Amino acid sequence: MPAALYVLLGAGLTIGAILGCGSLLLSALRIRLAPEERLPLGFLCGAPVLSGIVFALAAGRLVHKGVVVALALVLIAAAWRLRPRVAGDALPPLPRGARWTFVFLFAPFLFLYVANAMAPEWSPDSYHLGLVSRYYRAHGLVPVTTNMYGSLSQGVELLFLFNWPFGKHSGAALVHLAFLVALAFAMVRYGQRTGHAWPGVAAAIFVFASPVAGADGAAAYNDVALAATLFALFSLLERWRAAPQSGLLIPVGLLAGFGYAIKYTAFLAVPYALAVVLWKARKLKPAILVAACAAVMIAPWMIKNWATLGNPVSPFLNAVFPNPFVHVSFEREWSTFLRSYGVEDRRQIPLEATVRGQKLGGLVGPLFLLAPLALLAVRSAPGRRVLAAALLFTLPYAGNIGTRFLLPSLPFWSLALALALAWRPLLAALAAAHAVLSWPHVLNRYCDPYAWRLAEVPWKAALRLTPEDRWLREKSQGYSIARMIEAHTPADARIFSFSPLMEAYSTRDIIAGYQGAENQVLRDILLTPLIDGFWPKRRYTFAFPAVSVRRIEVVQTERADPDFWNVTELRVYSGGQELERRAEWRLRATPNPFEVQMAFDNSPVTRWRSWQTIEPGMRVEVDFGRDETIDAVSLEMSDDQHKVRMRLNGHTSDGRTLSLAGKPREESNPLPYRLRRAAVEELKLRGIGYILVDDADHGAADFREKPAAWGITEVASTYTGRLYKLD
Amino acid sequence: MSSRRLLPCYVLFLLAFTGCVSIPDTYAPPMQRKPVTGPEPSSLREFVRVDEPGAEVHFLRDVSQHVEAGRFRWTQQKPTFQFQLKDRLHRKLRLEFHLHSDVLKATGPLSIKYLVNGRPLESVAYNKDGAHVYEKAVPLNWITTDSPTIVTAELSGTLKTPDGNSLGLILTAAGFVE
Repeated sequence: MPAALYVLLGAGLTIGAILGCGSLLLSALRIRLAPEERLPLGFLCGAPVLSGIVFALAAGRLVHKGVVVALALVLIAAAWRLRPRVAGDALPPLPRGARWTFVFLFAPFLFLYVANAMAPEWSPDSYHLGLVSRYYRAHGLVPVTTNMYGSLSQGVELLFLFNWPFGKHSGAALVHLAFLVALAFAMVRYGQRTGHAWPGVAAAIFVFASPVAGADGAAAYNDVALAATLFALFSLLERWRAAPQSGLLIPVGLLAGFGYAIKYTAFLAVPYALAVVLWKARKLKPAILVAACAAVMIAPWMIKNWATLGNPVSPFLNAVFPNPFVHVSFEREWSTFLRSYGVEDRRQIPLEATVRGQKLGGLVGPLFLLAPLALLAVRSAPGRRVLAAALLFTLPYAGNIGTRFLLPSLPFWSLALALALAWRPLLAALAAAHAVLSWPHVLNRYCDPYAWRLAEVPWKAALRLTPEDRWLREKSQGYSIARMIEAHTPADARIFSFSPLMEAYSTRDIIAGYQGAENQVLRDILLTPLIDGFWPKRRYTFAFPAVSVRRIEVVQTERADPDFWNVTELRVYSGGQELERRAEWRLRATPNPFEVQMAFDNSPVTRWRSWQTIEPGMRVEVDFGRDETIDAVSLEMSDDQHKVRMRLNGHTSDGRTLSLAGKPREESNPLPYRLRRAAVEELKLRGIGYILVDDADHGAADFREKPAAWGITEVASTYTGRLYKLD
Repeated sequence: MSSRRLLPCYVLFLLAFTGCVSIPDTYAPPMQRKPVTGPEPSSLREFVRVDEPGAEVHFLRDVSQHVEAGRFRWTQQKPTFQFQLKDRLHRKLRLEFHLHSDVLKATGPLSIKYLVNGRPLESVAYNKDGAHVYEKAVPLNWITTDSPTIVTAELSGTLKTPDGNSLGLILTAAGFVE
């Protein structure tokens, strides 16, 4: 069968199964939707249900092609057989002008988006499908400890997993696009239902034609799905406010919880839904029902993370839930970056997010420079409710100022703007102007050349008239590098890379430099030979009269921001001889106890690091398991921690604490080692067989020019990436 | 409510299929590493083909970073190389290259002066395009084995391209052979 048909089959089965779930849910709860609402709202209500089912299948490693086909067919057939015989009342018809405005502006963008979604997928954030591909190879969820993206909730990615047996990458993008289409229609229907047909149509076009919505919706991302889910939640809550029926509260709860299951940043959907229900019902019971349904969607993700990573909200709150998989410092640095994206002057954000689109990864379109006018919607009660949702779902944007993080609130800002400017000719003109300005050929004339956007209509690639491999090699160096890795490494290879790779097109275990604690340790080891400041050039020795102790601890006494505390080796002496590190010793460190062994492994390229700025009370401890007579303790450390201040305590078997020494003697530590080779040997011990070095990576020239010193052999290269095998 | 009844099932189901992670907070000493000591081996070879992995390390100046057509590199006017020789006896300098007709048109007969560690070995004039191999024995006291041996080929001229580059030899291999 032609490849394009497989794509359509995978996406079709998934979309059909979602619609089936939605139809069954709404039928079971006797929720009567207007015929015009059945498809968009049925789809959006069905998504959490299918996602939950796939989670259960994936937890049981039951995601096989046959299971997917059978389940999809059963869901579609059941939904058809049990479809409601009596529809709800039809909505007021769309005014003729509004209908044709919508059709004329919607259709070309739909064509543009379908062509791009069906074309081979090469979106920058390849981890979404990298994880999906990994799950499918394992037929279900597997613990992912070296990619913190794998611990984010993945409600939509599970829908991509359902599509994967047939539709693979492009099928996933089409499934995501279905959310954008459903969102546009849900907005139109909301307008019809509430007597604001023209604002509904205009707002739908504002969102649908927005460049970032198109780029995101036509890729295997999840932001548009989140936007659609939140709008469906709003829409059902509005409907429940108008005509309370308890059945509606179940999809309300599921959608609120599904927001979290798609992206942590949508956690506000739950308090939002609870607040609306409590405010309107003035009773606890309906709110409990909503909370319980939301919990059904949220709990699996929290339990999964708790069970596999020791942190229910990994990769966040690592200081509260210490774990060996994500360093506290990484979380802080990452969060800091997401709050700035390197934009030094926050006054640049409006223009970057609406017109330029490079620094923040996309643009919503110049129309949204008018967003402040949306505040005029406060004049009406529906406008106030839309504005409240817009403001609420904009709040998480402060934590990540990427343009696509505006998408969850974009439907509400669009609707508020359209309600505020309710004059029909103006709305039609704005919708048309927005569409023209968002069309690729026009967009290319004014946005930044490097703005993330859809720049063409790749229909030949979509139909696979241009071979997939050729198209991807032309579009993405990352794809070529991923395929190079596939061609030159065995199936079970673990590959370290300083930078993330296009893992969606690789089946290898790729450890990208910053994506987890283990990754950062490997990076640290590889960089030690290259960075003078990482070498253990200083030796700090505590010398004291011989004493018998059971346990010792080296304690930090002062704050030393921004340095980390790094100990390459801690050695204990008696009579000038180093004590053997017996198996009975017990080592402990605070913080980051998980890597304390690296200060006791006799390697000059590994070091225990606090991975937090130095604070008083940080300590490294050794329990000898019996009394030992000692007279000196030395620490071999790098000199990238200028303000380190330490003292040494001892603890006797009878519970006494002895202050053994205050300020240590500081001297230089000779380095007769071949650090490069030692680093490679350490990586091999940790299961790494290959390293991928980009020409732009720190030390790339050193790897290229001194392979014998490292003990590596270049096995392949393409573009700027070189693959080395560890000898 | 059905969703409430489902919740414990979910929890049990998940716990059944996901092993809880065990994270200790004290550790025994790990396997002791034996640090690697001694001088670092050189990555330089005696002879290198320009399309081989790691070939760049031999090029000190005026050799393109890019392999063309998967097998050659352009040089500019004064390509300079370094090689690590294991022995000084019976070593011959060898360069394999092509001369492009357009280069010869621009330069006229092309003279190349070969130098080893700064000492002129020979000057050769070329007036035909196509493949050439230069090979000549090198006095053993010109060669160093405790440090890289530096080889330079000085061209009398190059072809200047409109984008400001200069093109000299189409180099395929260089180094020392026995």
